[in-house]
Amino acid sequence: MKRFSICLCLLLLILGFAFATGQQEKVAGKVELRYMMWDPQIVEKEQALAQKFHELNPNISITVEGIAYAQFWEKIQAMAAAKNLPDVFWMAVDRVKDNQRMGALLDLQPYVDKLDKSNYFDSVFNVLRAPDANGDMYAFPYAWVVCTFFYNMRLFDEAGLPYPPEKWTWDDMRNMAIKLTKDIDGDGNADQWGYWVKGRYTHTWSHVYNNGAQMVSDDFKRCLLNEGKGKEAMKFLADLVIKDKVSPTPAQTKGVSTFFTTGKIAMCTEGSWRIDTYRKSLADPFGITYLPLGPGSGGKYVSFGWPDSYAISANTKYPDESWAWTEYMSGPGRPLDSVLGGKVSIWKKSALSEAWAEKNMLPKNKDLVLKAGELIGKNVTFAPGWPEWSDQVAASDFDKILLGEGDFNKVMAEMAEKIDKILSRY
Amino acid sequence: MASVPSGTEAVSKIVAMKNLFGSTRFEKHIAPYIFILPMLLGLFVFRLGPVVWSFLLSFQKYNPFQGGVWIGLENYKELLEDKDFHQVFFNTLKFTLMYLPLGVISSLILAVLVNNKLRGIVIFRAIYFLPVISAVAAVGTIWAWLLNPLFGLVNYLIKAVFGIIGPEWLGSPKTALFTLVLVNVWLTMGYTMVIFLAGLQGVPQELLDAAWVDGAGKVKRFFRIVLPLLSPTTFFVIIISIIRSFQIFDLVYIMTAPAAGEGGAVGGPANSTNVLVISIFLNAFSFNRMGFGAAQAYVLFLMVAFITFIQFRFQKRWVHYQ
Amino acid sequence: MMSTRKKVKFVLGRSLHYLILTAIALTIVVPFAWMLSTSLKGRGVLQEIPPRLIPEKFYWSNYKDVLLKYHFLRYSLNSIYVALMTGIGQLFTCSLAGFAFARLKFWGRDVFFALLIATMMIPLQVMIIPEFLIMMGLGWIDHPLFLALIVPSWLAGSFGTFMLRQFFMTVPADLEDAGRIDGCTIFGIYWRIFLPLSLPSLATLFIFGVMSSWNDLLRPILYLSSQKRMTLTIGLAAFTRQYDVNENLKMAGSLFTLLPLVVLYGFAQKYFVQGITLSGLKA
Repeated sequence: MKRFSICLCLLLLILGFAFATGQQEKVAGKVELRYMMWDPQIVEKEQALAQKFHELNPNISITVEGIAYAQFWEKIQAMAAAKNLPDVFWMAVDRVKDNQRMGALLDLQPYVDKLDKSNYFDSVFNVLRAPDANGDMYAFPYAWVVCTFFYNMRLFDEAGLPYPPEKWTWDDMRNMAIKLTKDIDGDGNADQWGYWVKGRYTHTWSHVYNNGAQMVSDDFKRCLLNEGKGKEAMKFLADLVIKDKVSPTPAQTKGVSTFFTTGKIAMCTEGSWRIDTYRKSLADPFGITYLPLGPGSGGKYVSFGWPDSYAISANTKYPDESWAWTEYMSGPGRPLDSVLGGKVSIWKKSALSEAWAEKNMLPKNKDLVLKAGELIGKNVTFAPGWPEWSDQVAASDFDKILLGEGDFNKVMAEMAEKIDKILSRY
Repeated sequence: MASVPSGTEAVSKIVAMKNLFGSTRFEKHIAPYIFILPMLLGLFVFRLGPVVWSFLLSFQKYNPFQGGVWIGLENYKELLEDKDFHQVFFNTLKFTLMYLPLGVISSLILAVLVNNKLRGIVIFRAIYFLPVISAVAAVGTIWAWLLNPLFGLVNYLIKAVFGIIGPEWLGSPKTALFTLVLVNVWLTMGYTMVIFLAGLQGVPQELLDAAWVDGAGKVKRFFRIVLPLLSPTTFFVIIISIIRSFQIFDLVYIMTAPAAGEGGAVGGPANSTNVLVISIFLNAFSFNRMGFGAAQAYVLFLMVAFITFIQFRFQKRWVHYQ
Repeated sequence: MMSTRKKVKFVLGRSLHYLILTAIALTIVVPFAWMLSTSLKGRGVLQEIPPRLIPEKFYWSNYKDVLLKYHFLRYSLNSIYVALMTGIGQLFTCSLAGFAFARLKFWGRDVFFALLIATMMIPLQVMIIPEFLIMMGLGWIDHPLFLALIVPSWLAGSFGTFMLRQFFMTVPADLEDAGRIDGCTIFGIYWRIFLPLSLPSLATLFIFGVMSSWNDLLRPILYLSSQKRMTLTIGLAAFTRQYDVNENLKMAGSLFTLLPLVVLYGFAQKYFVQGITLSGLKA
């Protein structure tokens, strides 16, 4: 009994202490910004930048917090519920509109209007407008990427084929893919494929755009994938897997997110950030080019690209200081090593520098990425509800077709119906 | 107890103590509440509070920044009509139905196999417990790799030993869910093994000895004595397994989520492994539909509560308490 | 003296027993061997086709990096503190409540127990926001004593209460009666009779409490913000980045995270073997 009561007293003591010390103290007179990002591995680098910023602006100090990517949005939601969002935080391009509609983001247009646009790749700015392409910017980019066409030079050399040119058509690509799909060990199954198609936004939407189509109507009310040029693009991709069999099925590539690195695929469409991945993990030399144009494109190339950006909380106590930090991190003060590989700084001078060009590394024509960046059209928009309709519904249903689990027309009709329903909520 | 006082002194002392603390009145009416006080406190603050909040949420269209708008039964109506949700619901049900027998029986067998003093048995017990204490993120990744249809070790061995091409495991909608069941059994059998072990240790040796003297063999003793005495533990294991398998999330997420930056669907392929908590997670944190997610959680709750209630009702038939 | 026939049967039976045990153990050892192998490989080598069990080059530096550069050593101190506090506290509250639910009659017993079980059925994802709001209200976010992580499991250990209740219900009534005859208070019966008997279950509960706290990711992510307070699970999650995963470091980190629990389990093992002594009955 005695031991028990001692334990109980101890417990109460600790609890009392806890309540007493739970409150934080505020330091008066200085501005403290909370900055949250989703790459804990580079927290120290970001803290170094925060320190540099502090030296330039001694009254502003920044605490950097890194949350692993998969848990980032959970924490943001919890903080939003407690009306306690960080002042500045990383923003995903596909969530800008949703967050803006919720009222969580600060309108940055007044600040952006004061900038000298010639310093930036402003073709990318439109992607961050909300609630639609004519709205204000609610996030500000610090880097951007585009979907790029990659090809494995070794496989092309072995097949005696010329490398893909910069301007080419779907038929050209299809023919090359057929020639590059081989059954090497003669067991009846292909061991090398010409192309790679999966229900994944880099694989699918980039081709939809290059057929003169888009996934969703401009007013964000209707899904356009089950009609006209949109459907034509999806059919082309599905046929590559099912009819022409020039691509492995999603089941075969399960679990290997960068299948191109296995050296078994001759061509694929991926985000330009994969340049870094392929340099490190692909044993063969590779090159990049523009995507092939579909019959509906009218000869016009549209880049599917988007920025990585910063957002500021609508409730922040220090909007001007938060903007100062944002502007600093998207400006020349940002070291290049955060955007090497296939990412591009939004600050033009950094992007056009020798250091970024990396002339001694693959791919030899890396400046193609820059050129493609200028071609990010105004119609490239991430309609609201993207995580639901693009990542979950469209990817799942398209994979269903590719796995042979559903008829193309039937599943596309279901997909469009589901997407319409989702869009109707916004 | 301290030294026992002598004779009548002792009796009067006992009576006095009983009247003070041990008096039936105090014991019957107050003491039990002191016993459960800490737990009740936690229950109300940290469990019931959030439960009520999220229950009310299921009747709202909620936005963490602006709060909720009451929409009555809309969320539940939508769930009833949404075909994708039906699939999610049945995926969860299928998962539990496949997992339960496999999980309970395999861990019971394991517990029996290690409930002895064989040399090195401690090492085996430790090995069987390893999956339980490892991070799901790590073991999920390793298993996903081992079960890779083209390059994984498992299919490689199947081809080498049996000469046939192995199944597509997580790649095919037909086999993905069952694959997850198998990995989950692997992950949890050490856990329930330990619970069964504690229960087995509680079987009095005297009873077993007495039965042996009466001529009962090992098998008979197991089914006639051990199992019935083990039934409260078994009951516990079944309830816990049902509750946990309905709530499975981490394993499914790790093994089916697209790799970083892929932007594909979770719970694939083609929604075949999209279970309830995955759907709740996506709705609450990706699709900004926390109210809808809460409604799904309560459908889950109703399901599990119903099954558990049935279990508790039926326990009189097969569970033996002392 | 056993006949040779019986001896052969015995040896065969024993060998079969060991064979089965080993076969099962293999299904566990192989994946872990793979984890170990991956943890010693260099970057990007996980994607190697065909996969190789013994790495070409041993990157022992992975472990050094994980411990120092990625702060796992510091994180482990935090994790140990939180896990131990969680494990120990639970033992008292759950056994008290479990005993009450099992052996005492009082108004609301079944209702509270049903509520206890019922609240286990709501997924964490749905309850985490209100729980977070409560913690914010109490000022426990990033608390130096990690209260947000410890207190809920002390006070609301449904699993432990359920488990101990089941166990306490198997204790023969004779023991309880014997206690009463001896003049024990109800607390005495709990403390002197039931609690010691439940040592295997308590050991199990302690392990489970430590384990669930050790591997908890969501709560530490939400309730901690200073890097110096972070736990091992947070450290592990950091290896999965947006566009790539550091598989090798992740495996090294997981194995390191595993180690303390293995040691703990080794120690607690002997409590699992303790049986009930019914000497009280005999007398």
